[in-house]
Amino acid sequence: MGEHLNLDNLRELTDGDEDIEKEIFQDFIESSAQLVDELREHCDGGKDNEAWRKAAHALKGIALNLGAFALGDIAKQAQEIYEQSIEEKTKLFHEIDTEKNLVVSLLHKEGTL
Amino acid sequence: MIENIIEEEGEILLSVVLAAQNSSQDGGKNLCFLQCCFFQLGLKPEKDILDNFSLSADSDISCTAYFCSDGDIIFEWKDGEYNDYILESLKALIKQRYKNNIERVMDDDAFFIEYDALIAQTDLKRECIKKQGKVTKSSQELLKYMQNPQLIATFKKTMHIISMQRMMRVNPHILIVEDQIFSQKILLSALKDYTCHVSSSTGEAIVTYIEKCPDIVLLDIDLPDLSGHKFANFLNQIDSQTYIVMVTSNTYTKDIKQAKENNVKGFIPKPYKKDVILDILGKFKKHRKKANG
Repeated sequence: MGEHLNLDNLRELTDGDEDIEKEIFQDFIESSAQLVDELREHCDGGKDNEAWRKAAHALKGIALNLGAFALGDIAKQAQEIYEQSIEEKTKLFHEIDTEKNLVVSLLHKEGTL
Repeated sequence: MIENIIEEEGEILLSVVLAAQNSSQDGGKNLCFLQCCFFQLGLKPEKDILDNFSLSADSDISCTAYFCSDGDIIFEWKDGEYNDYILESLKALIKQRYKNNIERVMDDDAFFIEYDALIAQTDLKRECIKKQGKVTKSSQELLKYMQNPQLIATFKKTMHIISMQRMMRVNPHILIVEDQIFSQKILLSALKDYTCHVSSSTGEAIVTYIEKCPDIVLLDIDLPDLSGHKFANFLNQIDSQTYIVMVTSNTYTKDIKQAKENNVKGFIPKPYKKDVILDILGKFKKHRKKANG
């Protein structure tokens, strides 16, 4: 599994602009919360397989771009098992939720939020 | 006289000439040109017209003749080696030779007037496209809209005209088609020195593309209304100059295969890396330079 959070690449892209970084971190927190909610809704029976696949795919993208590689890895697994049983997906959902919360707490520890 | 046969349409070549004229710091590099259009009748000009011209005009004149893929001939002079007498002689010669088979013979002043009229006409078309694009909602409706032959023909014609604007640009304009605000911001931040436009869906991107005529499209595959592959396919139908780069975390074989079929020029995988983005921009500049001769 990849690192929980590595911001080196992101800082290269933003040229170390702290204002932009703050904005980007805030967007990550909002977007990841929304996507995790969509995955949860699926586990509760409210959304179809395609919605799960799309949410997992989007979460993978933003996690990788942030530098949350472990979260990106789990989201990738989630995207790939989109046709499997709800039980399998619920198990993975809990891993995603835990990892996402860890990344958010690490962002807070970075002192940029 | 020098002659060139080029795989370019007359109007595109002229826009390059205009761009060179606009960006030239050196007054001596100003270019004058004469465009002869044969395309309406599908008639290809015969190259021996050059021999006739060489015989009737001053042999010291340094003039380049471009035989274009659409049947136009463009004669180009450097400033100072061109005068009204030469222009009128050539016009008379061409008219006499081709009689009623020539659609028009235009010098640079006349071309400017026509160019302005075309742009005004295109602005009107763009407004219509914007209105049509905005009422389109569902994926199915959007797909139907993108496959309508009449609309494709209108788009194609519109793109052909407005693509002249590209030639006037020093730096490329970039359209980012990405639904995640988070990923949009990262790309915008990495491309802060460029003019960027952002669309969050395929429907929105069609309107932005026609309106802004971007040089490069950074296109996500998974979009909320219709896949990036379908949009890439559509862009290839309407715009022969389109330059698409996929930005995605999906680097599955099927995606790469489909992207190649849609003439996609490259991939920027997630996580985005600055050197990959700069490399793509460098490749685009080389490609454009080559295309512009």
